[in-house]
Amino acid sequence: MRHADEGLLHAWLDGALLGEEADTVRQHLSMCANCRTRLEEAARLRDQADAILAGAAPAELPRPPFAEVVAQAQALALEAHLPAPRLRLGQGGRSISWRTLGWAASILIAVGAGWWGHGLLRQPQRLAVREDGLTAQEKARAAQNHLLLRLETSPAVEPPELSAPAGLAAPG
Amino acid sequence: MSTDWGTVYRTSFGDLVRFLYRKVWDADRAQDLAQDAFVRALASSEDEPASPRAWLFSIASNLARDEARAAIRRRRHLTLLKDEADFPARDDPAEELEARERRDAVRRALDALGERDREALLLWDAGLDYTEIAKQTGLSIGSVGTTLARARKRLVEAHVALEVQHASRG
Repeated sequence: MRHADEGLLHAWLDGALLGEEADTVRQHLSMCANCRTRLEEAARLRDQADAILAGAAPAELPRPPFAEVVAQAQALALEAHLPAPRLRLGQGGRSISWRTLGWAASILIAVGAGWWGHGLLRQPQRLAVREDGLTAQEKARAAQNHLLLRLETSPAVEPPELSAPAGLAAPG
Repeated sequence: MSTDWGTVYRTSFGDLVRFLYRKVWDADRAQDLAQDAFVRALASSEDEPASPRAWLFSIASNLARDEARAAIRRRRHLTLLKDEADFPARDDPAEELEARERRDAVRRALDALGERDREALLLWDAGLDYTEIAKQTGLSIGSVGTTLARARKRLVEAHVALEVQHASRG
């Protein structure tokens, strides 16, 4: 019988397995007590590592306003004489001429970054970086906790042989 | 699809600072580098990236590496002074000492990892997914899990060893 190697178990814990790969591993874990034990050990290891890293967090500093970052980017683009697609924003999405950019940058330097919140820079289509409010790690933990709860009540049945999922190392 | 860089900035800046802090071990410098990364990304004339966050972390990683090389070239030996400035003032000196020792232990434990293992672990901790980590580190997606497993194990082992060493000193 092939079992899940450490890499596969950690990929499972991290929510990195999808579709058929995830189904295969889930089915194997539901029937293999040995791999379930190793999965729990891997989860403990992951949690220990997370806790260690959390012990080295930077001092909380205020985030600079985005307008200030935009102003610096405009200045950098002008200095390098580069066309900057990300700064080609304006009414109706038309490109802004270099003269306008130069004028705008001068005004900004003179009066500060606060002007940029008022229509000069139009935000493009919003990108839902976190559509459901959960990070990748939070989703993975929720999926793992749900699985562990289900596995605890699974009947003892001979597990299917675990073949190497596409793109992952074959279990040893 | 155009990227909403304002949203990326708001949701990723903190993660980027934390990622950079584990490289330069200076909160102010990490913040500066994070801002630099966004400035460079916005000013860049490259095509819109498929993964803005991953691209940002790539820029930030390069900035941190350049910073480290420049520091070595200048032969700066300001570690002690930087440590003094990096921690917020605490009322309890014992608490401050403990926080500093905790941070130093994490730093030494991370130093025990191979460079790619450390990078993969820090990128995962910063919120990147396996695809983004693979692109940033040059690993295959299928190897990221194995790399993280090894990195976590090595980090925990190194940290435990340091704690034992610290405890044995009394």
